[in-house]
Amino acid sequence: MLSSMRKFIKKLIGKPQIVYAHCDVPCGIYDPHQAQIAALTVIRMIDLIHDHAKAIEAGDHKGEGELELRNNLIRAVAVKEEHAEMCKKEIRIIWGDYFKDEYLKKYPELNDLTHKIMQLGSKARQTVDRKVAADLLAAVNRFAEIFWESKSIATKRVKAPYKPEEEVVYPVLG
Amino acid sequence: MRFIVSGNSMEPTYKTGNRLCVSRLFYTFFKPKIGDVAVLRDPRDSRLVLKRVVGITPDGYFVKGDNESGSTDSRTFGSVKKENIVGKVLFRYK
Repeated sequence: MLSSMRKFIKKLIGKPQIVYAHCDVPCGIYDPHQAQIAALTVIRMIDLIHDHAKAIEAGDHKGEGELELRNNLIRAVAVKEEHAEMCKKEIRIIWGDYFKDEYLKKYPELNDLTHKIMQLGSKARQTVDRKVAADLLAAVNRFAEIFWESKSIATKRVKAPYKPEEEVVYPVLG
Repeated sequence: MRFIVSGNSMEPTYKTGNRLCVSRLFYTFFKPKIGDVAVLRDPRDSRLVLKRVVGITPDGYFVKGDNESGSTDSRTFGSVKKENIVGKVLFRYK
């Protein structure tokens, strides 16, 4: 009796449908750390490029030695290219997917800051000017500060414990 | 109406696999109010989604997932009109 009543009610209500408690990007994992590391790498590569160029100019290394130096210099250029682009990509993802309209209203500098990072990232590929790379890191650090603030997580600025030992914004967790 | 939850945007309130009893009739008599969890149609593709009403605007109802960082809601697709709100979640039975 009870089971037939249950069956009747189920029939009356209908089969359960799927309702999506969804997110367009299902993971929800965003972190500007990758972009900060990429910006630091660009600075480090510029330092290495200058070091290798000086060593080549000094002419202390001949033959195989000089070839090694040139190889390392070119590798540093390749890594600089890759990381400047990686930095741009990571920032674009956070800006495009994480920051919703309400954040753009709350942090009116976000659009200009993101645009600035795109331009500095491209410039960092074109040049070996350390100032450009330092400006890129500064802009990415500011972006990271806004990101963590939007999650109500405090930040601190500390020198990275490795070369180029530049200041990086870290979240204060736990 | 019965629904099965898929996705994590309403966590910790509702998780994937939870079964919900939803009343379509409720909103024919009463207006949705802030705090209600409702089944509604995503205005972009009409997919049935589960969100919480967090604001009432001149354009409609502003809805959000309880799991803010893992939810696509009115912050992306804007306010939802009354006709796109399907029903009110009454209770979870599983």
